[in-house]
Amino acid sequence: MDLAAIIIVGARQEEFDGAGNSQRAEAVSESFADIPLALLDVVGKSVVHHVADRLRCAGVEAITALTTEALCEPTVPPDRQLQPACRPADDTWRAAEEAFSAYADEGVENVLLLRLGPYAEFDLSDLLHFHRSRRQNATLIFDRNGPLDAAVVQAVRRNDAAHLIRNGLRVSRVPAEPYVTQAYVNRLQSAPDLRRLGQDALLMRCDIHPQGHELKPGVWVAERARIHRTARVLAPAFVGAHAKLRAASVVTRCSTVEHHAEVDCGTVLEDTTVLPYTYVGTGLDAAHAVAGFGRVAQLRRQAEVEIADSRLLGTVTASATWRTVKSAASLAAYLPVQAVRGLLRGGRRTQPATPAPTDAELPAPRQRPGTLEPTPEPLAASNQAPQFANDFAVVRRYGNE
Amino acid sequence: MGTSRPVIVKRMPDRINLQQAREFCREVQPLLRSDRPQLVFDFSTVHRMDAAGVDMLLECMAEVMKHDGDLKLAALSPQAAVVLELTRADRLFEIYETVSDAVRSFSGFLPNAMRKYAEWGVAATASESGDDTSSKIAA
Repeated sequence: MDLAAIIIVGARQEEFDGAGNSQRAEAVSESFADIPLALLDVVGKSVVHHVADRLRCAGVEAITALTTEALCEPTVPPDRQLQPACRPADDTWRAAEEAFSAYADEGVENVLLLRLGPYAEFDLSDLLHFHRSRRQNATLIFDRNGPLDAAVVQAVRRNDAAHLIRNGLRVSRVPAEPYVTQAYVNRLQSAPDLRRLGQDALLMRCDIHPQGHELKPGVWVAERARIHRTARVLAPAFVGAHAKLRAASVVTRCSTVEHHAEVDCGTVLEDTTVLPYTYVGTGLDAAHAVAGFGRVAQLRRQAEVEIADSRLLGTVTASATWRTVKSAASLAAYLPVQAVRGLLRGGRRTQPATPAPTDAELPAPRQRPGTLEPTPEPLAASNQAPQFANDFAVVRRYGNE
Repeated sequence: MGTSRPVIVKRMPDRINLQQAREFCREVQPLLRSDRPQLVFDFSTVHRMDAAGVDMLLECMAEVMKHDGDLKLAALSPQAAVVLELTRADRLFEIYETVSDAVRSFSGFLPNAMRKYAEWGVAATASESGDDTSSKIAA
């Protein structure tokens, strides 16, 4: 085996300065709803799985993903878990050292250590070529903005690896020339970065491909997604597996609805990520947001707030049986109410009273063809309900439509 | 030039759920039913708000409009702002950054508007051309 990889997820406890001194990192959370962003889904798969897929495509077969036990695979049901499954560990950094030793014992030549953290699409073969040509024990990976918390280490150099791991993959034991990549990088520090990664995936700015069929240009729909015939999905957009878009809902402007999420009637999603197993209530307007796990990150306000009202934002249960039982119960509760309402109304439908129009609400006067004079309207008509012209239309714009 | 009617500032409770919303609604009912009420709801301390809070605001707004008054919101906390935006209720209210801005807006709007029209000389030209703009402003 030539190269193995160890991916450490959500273990940023400390910030390291240039001299290797640790400081508490309060400003950068790298999480949403206390879940590391790397474990959240972006166009159908979690970031850690996108990274693992990318490594596998580059020929790396041995991959270990480590995260704390509490955070292990929060959104992926057991039947959909992909390889590598995140291995739970109380102390991920210590577990990383053990995994490194195991790979060294297996005879691996080099080990790629990654912390997610930052998502970077560096060229792996170019990195290995650089590492070998410099004959370095460990090569740190940087972009123009700083370290990417990643390094390639010779497997026989266990002390170098241990020093790197204990310093958050930022400081090498022996000074070495870093590998500076020019490739796509998203530091995934906060919810806006997660949203941007989703946008970039839909706009093909990075190598992440949406996990679904491209029904029409820019619209990806995964298997078993249910979209009501009156719902509108405007490109670019993504609807994940088993997701539900109910009547008159609109998904537009790089919005992504992840697997098992549900968007209720009339709700508009604009530049929004709906995380897995999230229910978005009826008639809402979510714009520039990340929603899920009972929280909404409003990107323009740079605020993350908790929504306790399940009518606005709720959670869909992961168990299919329980979902079916809940649906049957809600149907059983709905039908008798509608039957009683129908009986009480007695089949009569009353027209709502139309308010008398004010001056401002009156329709624009029609013009005679070829003149600038408005056509005189009968006086009585102005005091009745507003009469709109046949060609009068109200339009709301979504995207290019 | 200011209005003679008072502007009443009402601080919202920390949590606006169904129960709190009902209590608050009961509390402000006499204010809403006064003649041409001018109200400002201060949201600075709101930490949690749900759909019942939005319903309550809409009810208050409807009641105020019935009595030819106005209801404005001020100092929205991030939680309240996100909920109002999510439910599209933010479009129905005038929202100000601070309570003092909201209070000032009650007395400031009409004279400023009149001053602008006077500067542009719109009133004079409008009366000549038969437009009814000036009569609307005077009213």
